[in-house]
Amino acid sequence: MSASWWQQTTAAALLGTERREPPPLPPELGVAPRAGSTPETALLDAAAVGGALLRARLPACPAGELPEPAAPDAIPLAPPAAVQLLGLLVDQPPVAARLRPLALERWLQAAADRGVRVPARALPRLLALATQQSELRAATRPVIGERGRWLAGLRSDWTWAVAPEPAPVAATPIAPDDWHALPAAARADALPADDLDLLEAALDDRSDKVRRQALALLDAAPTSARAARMAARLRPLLASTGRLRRGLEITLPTAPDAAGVRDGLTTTRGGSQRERWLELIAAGAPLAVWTEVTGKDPAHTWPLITQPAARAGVLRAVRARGELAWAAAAVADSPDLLAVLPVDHQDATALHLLRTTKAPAAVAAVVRHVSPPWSPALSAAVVDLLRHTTPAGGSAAVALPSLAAGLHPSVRPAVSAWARAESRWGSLPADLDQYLSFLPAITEAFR
Amino acid sequence: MPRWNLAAVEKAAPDASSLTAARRLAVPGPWSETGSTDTLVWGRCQGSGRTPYQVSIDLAAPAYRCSCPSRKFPCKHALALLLLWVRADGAVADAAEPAGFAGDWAATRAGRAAGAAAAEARRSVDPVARARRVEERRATMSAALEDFAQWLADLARGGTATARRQPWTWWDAAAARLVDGQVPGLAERLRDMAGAVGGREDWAEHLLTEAGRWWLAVQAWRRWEELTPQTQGDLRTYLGWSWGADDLPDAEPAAGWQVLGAHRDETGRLKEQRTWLRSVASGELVLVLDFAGGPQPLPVPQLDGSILDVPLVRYPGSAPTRARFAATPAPLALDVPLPTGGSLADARGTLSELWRRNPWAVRVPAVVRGRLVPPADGVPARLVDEYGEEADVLGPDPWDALAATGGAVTDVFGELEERGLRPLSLAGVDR
Repeated sequence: MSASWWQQTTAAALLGTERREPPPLPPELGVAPRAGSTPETALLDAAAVGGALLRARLPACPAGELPEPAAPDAIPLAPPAAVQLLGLLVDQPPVAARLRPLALERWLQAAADRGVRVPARALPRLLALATQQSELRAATRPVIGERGRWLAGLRSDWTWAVAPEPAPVAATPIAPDDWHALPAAARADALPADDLDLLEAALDDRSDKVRRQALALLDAAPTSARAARMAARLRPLLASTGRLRRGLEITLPTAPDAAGVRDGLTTTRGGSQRERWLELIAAGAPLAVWTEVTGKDPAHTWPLITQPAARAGVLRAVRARGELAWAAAAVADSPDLLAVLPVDHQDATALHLLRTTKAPAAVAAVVRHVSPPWSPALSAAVVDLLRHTTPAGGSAAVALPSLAAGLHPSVRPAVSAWARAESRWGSLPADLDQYLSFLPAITEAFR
Repeated sequence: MPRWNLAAVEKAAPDASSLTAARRLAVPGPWSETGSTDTLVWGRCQGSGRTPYQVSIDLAAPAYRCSCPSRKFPCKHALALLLLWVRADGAVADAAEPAGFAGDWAATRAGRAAGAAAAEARRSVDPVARARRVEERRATMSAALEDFAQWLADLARGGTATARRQPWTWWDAAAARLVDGQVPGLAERLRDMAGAVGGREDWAEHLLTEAGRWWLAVQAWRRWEELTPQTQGDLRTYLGWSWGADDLPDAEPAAGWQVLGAHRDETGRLKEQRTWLRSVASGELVLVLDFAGGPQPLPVPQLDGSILDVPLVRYPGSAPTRARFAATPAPLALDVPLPTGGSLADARGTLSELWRRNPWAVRVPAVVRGRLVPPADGVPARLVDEYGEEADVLGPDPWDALAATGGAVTDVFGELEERGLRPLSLAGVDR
């Protein structure tokens, strides 16, 4: 086909025959023009002929460089029953929607433990899901196989599956000169928690923000010079009473001097200033001051501290420093300290706590602070206590994923009974029951 | 009867939401009195009402019956029962004889099929009345097509650039007149063009060559009597003059046909299902085209890779032959591999050759051996054959196909069109 003829035809078509006469058919086509043709029919005839000629010879399209195909997979496929379960979890979760990521994570971990991979056909949906729900990514990476890594490398939103897991950034120590040169906000952010000299110097910083940050960090550092100064302020306030030193008398501090103000004992509007200073002093001083005065260990010292501001200060110190003996001593009064305990102690301590206090607050602390999965005994205690309490506003919805992650499968009968009897907790018991009944299917499918 | 697999059940679902609902029901809990024989699966499913729904499935056809009020076929209960059954874990037990309600249904169906065949045989034709109906229809169409010729001349006079600026209603008004004039096929092309002129980069050439095709249809219609029967068939299909039983030849004897793949297109007001079959004996390719409008369901898709023993009725026209099933297909085998694929050049040659005979054809079926290449930087996914030639992959989401092939050489069965290839099934892939 003559290219220029087709070009002229296209131009005439764009403009319309009113403004541009279509070119005559090229004689080499051997198509006679229509008798009695008008410009319009001539153009339409040309379109019919040109279109047919274009279709008669479709141009070849040579491809350029091609990406490498996926490498073959060496690791075996998940068993068929497990693959079917995965399809279920991905397309129609047999558990409450909020619990799907948890159940899916269990599946993925079971697959990784068995050293198997997901089938190719499941990869696009799985990668899309884990792209939306980033908490699934760590468990997804090990089971996608060569095919999955190949696929993930092709899409920018899936590259997380092939990128190395982000390593925690090691803080590089900052030289004091460099630190001083930073603007105030950056100085506060760059304060190193372990450079006590720099923290001490920061107490004299121009910026209020930097000073407050330094004070917060120093509260967590019982070996600092400031902690020693706080100890010196605390000691005179404490006195052991009684011949057997069974009591502890605490005096409220008087107005601080300039050094005290520099250490954070400032004046605020409202409230008892002296109680506030006591709390700040207790929060900044080494906890060893208390045991020195009483001559007893933390477990026996903590009950002697009855002054509320002093208790609040000590709890702040325990939280900031994670001192285990003190956390164990005070956890009954402040269940959030469960988070401070080592993982292998949390469970037993939490169980003891639940059995002795029977307080809903303790359950909330268990749910929030004890690492899952929980022991059968703790799980049973949690369910037992929940069944006899009423949820605070919204807490049922918040607690569901943590409960599902923590509860041991052995408590399922109790959860089932709860689900049948209960309405105060909404769908929570039923959702838990459903989830716990589903878990064995995962184990079974990988057997 | 070979056992179905999970993919086959998923393929049988009328839509994604039915499958989703079915998965929820595919647990033993709500089911009772389940069982299966070689050709039937049945069970009772406890729904929200007091009486459980009775579900029966004829595996051979496939056909479904459920006492629930759903207008979807198969409904979620039937799909759920199939999901349970393919698990083969004993939830649906094997039985020698079907349960009462399922057996009754199978017997009724068999009786009805025999009745329909007998009615077909008794069908009498009044040639005079039929000729008069045909004449009336042709007169209506002629008037509409002359009107359309005028519209085309106006388009040529005003120019395609002006037409591109027209609102959708301008195209729709012309399409509506064609529908009134009993030329719905052309009307559909016009509505497609309304979208294409705004969305395609090559809209100017596309509109010009399409207008050429429309013009060719008008010209051919004017010379109807001179056309060969094949061309008459092609033109009739293109214009949307549907075929009545009277217009079609008798059914051929049943023969083995392999299901290469199927495509469902539900974007328009009309749902369309294209099933591509390949003759086991001769390798000939035919197309079974089904339509459904409104809430009406499409027929249940046949299973990819299966071989059906079925008599066909062929429609007049050029290749690929359009056909319909003259009776319920009897599956002979499942999961038969695709024929070995050829080159894209060959497939393109086939499409050009088809256009030579039928300028209004849209697509040809083709098995191409090649690699699926992922989309990148705004370039769509492509199929590259073993000779280094490529075609764009049609369809919204190529990722399932990419995951299945891993970019390795496979046989891809698909529909080759002017703009690219739509993969419908893949052979020899790791799933």
